Amino acid sequence: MKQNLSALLLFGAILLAIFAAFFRSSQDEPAEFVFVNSTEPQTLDPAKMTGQPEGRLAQALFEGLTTYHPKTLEPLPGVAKRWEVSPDGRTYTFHLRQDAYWVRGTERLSRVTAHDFVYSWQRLLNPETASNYGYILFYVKGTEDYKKAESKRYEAFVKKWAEEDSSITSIDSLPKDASKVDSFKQARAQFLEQRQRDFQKTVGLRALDDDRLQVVLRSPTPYFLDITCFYPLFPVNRKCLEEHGLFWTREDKIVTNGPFYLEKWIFNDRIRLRRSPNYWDRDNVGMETIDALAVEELTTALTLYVKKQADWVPQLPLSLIRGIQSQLEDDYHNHASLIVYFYRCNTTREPFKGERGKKVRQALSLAVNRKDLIDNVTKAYEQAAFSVVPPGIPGYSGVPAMAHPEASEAVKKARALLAEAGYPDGKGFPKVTLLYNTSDRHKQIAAAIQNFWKVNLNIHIELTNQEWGTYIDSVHAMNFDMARAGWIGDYTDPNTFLDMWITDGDQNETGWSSPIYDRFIEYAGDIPGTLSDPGRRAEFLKDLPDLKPFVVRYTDERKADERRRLGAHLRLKVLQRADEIVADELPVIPLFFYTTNQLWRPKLEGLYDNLRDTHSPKFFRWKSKAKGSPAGGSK
Amino acid sequence: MIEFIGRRLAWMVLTLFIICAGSFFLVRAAPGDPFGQEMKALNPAVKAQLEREYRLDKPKVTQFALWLRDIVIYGDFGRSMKYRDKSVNEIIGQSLPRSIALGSLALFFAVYLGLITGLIAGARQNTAWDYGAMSFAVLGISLPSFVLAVLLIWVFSFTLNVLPPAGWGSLKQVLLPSLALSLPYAAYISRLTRVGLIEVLSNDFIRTAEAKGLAEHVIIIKHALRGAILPVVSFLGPAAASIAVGSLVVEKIFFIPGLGQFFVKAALNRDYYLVMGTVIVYSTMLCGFNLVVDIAYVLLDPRVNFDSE
Repeated sequence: MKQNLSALLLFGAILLAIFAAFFRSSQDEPAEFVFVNSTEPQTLDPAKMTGQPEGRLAQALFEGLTTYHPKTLEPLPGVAKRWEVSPDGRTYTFHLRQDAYWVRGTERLSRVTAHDFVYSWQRLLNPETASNYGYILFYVKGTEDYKKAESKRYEAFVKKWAEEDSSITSIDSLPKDASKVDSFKQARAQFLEQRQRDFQKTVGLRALDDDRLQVVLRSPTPYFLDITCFYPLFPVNRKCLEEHGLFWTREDKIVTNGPFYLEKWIFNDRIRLRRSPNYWDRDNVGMETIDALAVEELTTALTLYVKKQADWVPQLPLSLIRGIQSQLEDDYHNHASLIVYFYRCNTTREPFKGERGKKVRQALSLAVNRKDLIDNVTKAYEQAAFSVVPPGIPGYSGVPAMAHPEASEAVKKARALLAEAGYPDGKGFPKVTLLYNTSDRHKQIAAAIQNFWKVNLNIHIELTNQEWGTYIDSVHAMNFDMARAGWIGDYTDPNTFLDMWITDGDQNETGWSSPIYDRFIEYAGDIPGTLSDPGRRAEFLKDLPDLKPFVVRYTDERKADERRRLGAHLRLKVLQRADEIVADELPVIPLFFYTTNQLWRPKLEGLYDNLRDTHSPKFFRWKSKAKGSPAGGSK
Repeated sequence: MIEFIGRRLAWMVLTLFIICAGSFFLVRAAPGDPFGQEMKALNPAVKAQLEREYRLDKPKVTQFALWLRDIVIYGDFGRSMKYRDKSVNEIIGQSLPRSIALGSLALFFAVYLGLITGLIAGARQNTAWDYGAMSFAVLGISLPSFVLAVLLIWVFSFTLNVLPPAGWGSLKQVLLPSLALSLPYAAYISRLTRVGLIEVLSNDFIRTAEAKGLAEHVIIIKHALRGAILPVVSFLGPAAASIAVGSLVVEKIFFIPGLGQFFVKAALNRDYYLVMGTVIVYSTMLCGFNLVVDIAYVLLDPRVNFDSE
C-alpha cells in the first residue's frame, strides 16, 4: 500500500519539480503607464513595420524630422528644429537640431545628422530592405525611378551570384564556399558604388552638411511634412545595422533616437520603455516607464483596464461598446478615423460591367440602409459612407450631400435603376457572390447587406468567406464578384483614398477605369506644373470649366505664399471632383467609416482623439504631475 | 528494455520525419501568402526579395532538404516570417518554458482532481457522491475552455477578488489558467478512473480481500488502484503532450506568452518556419510521452513485458 501511495506522490512531486524548474517569476516594478498594444509587434525596424501597434512603439523609440501634434496632427519639429520651403513648393531644407543623439539604452553615442536621414531613406528604397512602405518616398524626386532601376539591377546581381552559390539570398549574405568570398565582396563593392552614383544622380535627397537636409520633391506635395512624421521615414543607425544585421532590434543592441529607449522586450508579453536621459526634449516626456502589453484578446484587455492593470486600451470588444459607454463614461472615447469599409465590385464581370453595371452598382448602393446597418449591426457609432473619403480632413468638404434620399425614396430609385439595367424586380439577375475574409463581424455585416438587397431589390446574393491569406490572393487575382475591403489612410489627405482608383492602379482591384478620373488625379498631383504649362492648362480648363475663376485668380496671384494657398485650395477642389466621380460610378460600394473606440484614464493628459488614431507616448503624462520646463522647439 | 527503447526511438525518428515532411508540404500547399499585408498589395520586387530570403523561390523539395539540413547540422529552425526580427529558435526558446510550467501545474491538478473524484465515484457507485462527481466530470468535458476560463475569472477575480484575471509572472497569476487548462483533463481522468475502479472491484481477488476483512481504503489503494489507473496512464501520454505545449484559448484569455497560440496563429499567418517549429515540438513531445507511458505500463501491469509487442 505504501508503495502505491508513494508512487502516486512521486508523480506529483515530479510535476511540481518541472513546474519549479521552468517557471520564472518575473515581477518587475509596475510601469508608470501601461497600455494594451493589441499584439506582439512584428518588428521594431521602422522601415519594415506596417501596423499600428508597431507604430506606437516606433514613435516612442525613434523620432523623425517632424512629429505629429498629439491633437491636431500638425507637424511639430522633431529632429528638425525648423525648415524652409522654396517658392515653388518643391524644395524643402530641414535644419537639424544639434542636441539630437543616438543612444543605446542610457549610453549616448553620436549626433543624429542629415546623413543618417539620407542613409535611412535610401535604405527604405533599397530592394534588400523589402520594405512595404518604399512608395511613401515616391514624393521625393527620382525615388520611383531609382527604386525601379535598382530593383532590376539588384535582381540580376543576386540571381547571378545565387547560381554560383546557393547560400546567397541577399546582398548581405556571404557565399558558403570560402574561395568565392573575396570575389563576391569585390563584386558587391562595385555594385554598391554604382548604386551610390545612381542614387546621387537620380534622387533629390542631399545632406548639405551634418545639420542640413535638402529634399527635392517630384511635385509640390502639401502634405509632405505630414509624411515626414510617419514612422517609415524615421532614421535608423547605420553602424548598429551594419554591425548586427537582421537582428539589430534586440534590447541589448538596438540604437534609437526617440523619447524612450527599449529596456526590455519579453516576446509576446510586454515591451518596457524607459525615458531616455539623452533625449533633447526629455523634460517634456511625461512618463518614466511605459509597458506595452501584447494582449490580443479584446475582453482580456477590457478586464485588465477594469482591474486597473492597464491605463489605455485602444481597441474594445464591439459587442460590449454600449455597456462600456454607460459604465465607464469618463474613460470612453469614440472618434471618427481615416478608415473606410466598402465592397469592391468586379467591373470586368457581369452584372457590374459597362453602363448597365454602373446602374446595378448604384442600385445596390442605394438599397443599403446605412443608418440601419450602423444602429443594429455594427453598433460602434460608425459614420455612414456614400463616398470613399472620410469626413474631417481639414480644408476638405467632401462629396456634397447629393443623391442620398430618405430610405423609402432611395429604395424606389434603386428599383428603377435596377429595372433600367435590365433586371426589373430583380428578374434575371445573375448569380453574384460576395466574398469576405473570415470573421464574425464581416459575416454579420454581409448578412445584413444580403438582406437589404433581398428585401429592397428582390435579388439574392451568395455569401462566401475565405481565411485571410486566401482572401488576399483572390482579391489580387480579381477572382471575385464582390469583395469586402477596408482602407486606412496613409496621411491626412483625400488623395490617399482617391489615387488608388486610377486605371490599373496597384490597389484598384475592381477593373474600373475612367480616363477623366485619371486626369483629375494627375492634375491634383501637380497643380503648379499643370497650370504653368499652356497645353495642360487648356486641358484642365476643358475638363473642369467651372473652376476657371479659381484658376484665373491663381495665375494672377504674384505673392508666393498666397499663390501656394490658392493652389492647395484648387487641388482639394479637383480631388473633390474625383471623389464625386467615385461616388457616382461606385466601382466600390462604400458602407461606413470606422470609428475608434478606446478607454483611457480621465487623469491622463497628452492622449487625444485624432483622425489618424496615432498617439505618440512622448506626450502622455498624469495630470497631477508637475510639468517640466519646456525645452524649446516643440511649439 | 534497452533494446525496446532503442527500437522505439528509431521508430520515433521515422515517425517524426514523416510528420515533418507531411506538414512541410501541406502548409506550403495551402493557398495564401506569408507576406500578404493587411490592406495593401505587396510590391513585386519586395515580394521577390522576401521570397528569396526565406528560400521560397527554390523548388519545394530543395526547400525541405535545406530546412532539414539546417536543423540537423546547425540546430537552426529558420526565421519567423511574421515576426521578422525573431528566429524560430528564439520564439520557441522563450515561449515553450512558460507553456511547460503552466502545463506541468495543470497536469498536476488534472491528475489529482481526476483521481480523487474518480476513486470516490467508483467506490461509491450509484450514490449521490458518484452522481455529483460525474456531473462535474460531464460539465468539465463538455464546457469549452473559454467558458471555463471566463467563469473562473468571474468567480476568483471579480466576485471574490483574490486572484488576478490575466498576466504571467507571479505564482498567483499561474493558478487560474492552470486550473482552467486542467479541468477538462481532470474530468476525463475522473471518468477513466471510475470505470477502471468499478471493473477492478468486480474481480475475484477483491472479493477475497473483502472476505479477509480488510478495510475499504486499504483494498482500494493497495489492491485496486494499480489496475484502476491503467487506462489513465495510457491517456496521460497524449494528454501530457497537448497540455505541455499549451492551449490557444487559455493562453489568449489569460494573456500568457506561451507556445500554444502559435499552433493556430502561425498556420493562419502562413508563417511556414514557425509552423514547422511548433509541429516538431509537439510531435516530439507526443512521441516521447507515449514512450514513457509504454515503459510505465510495463512497470505497472504485470501482464505486459517489453517483448510482448
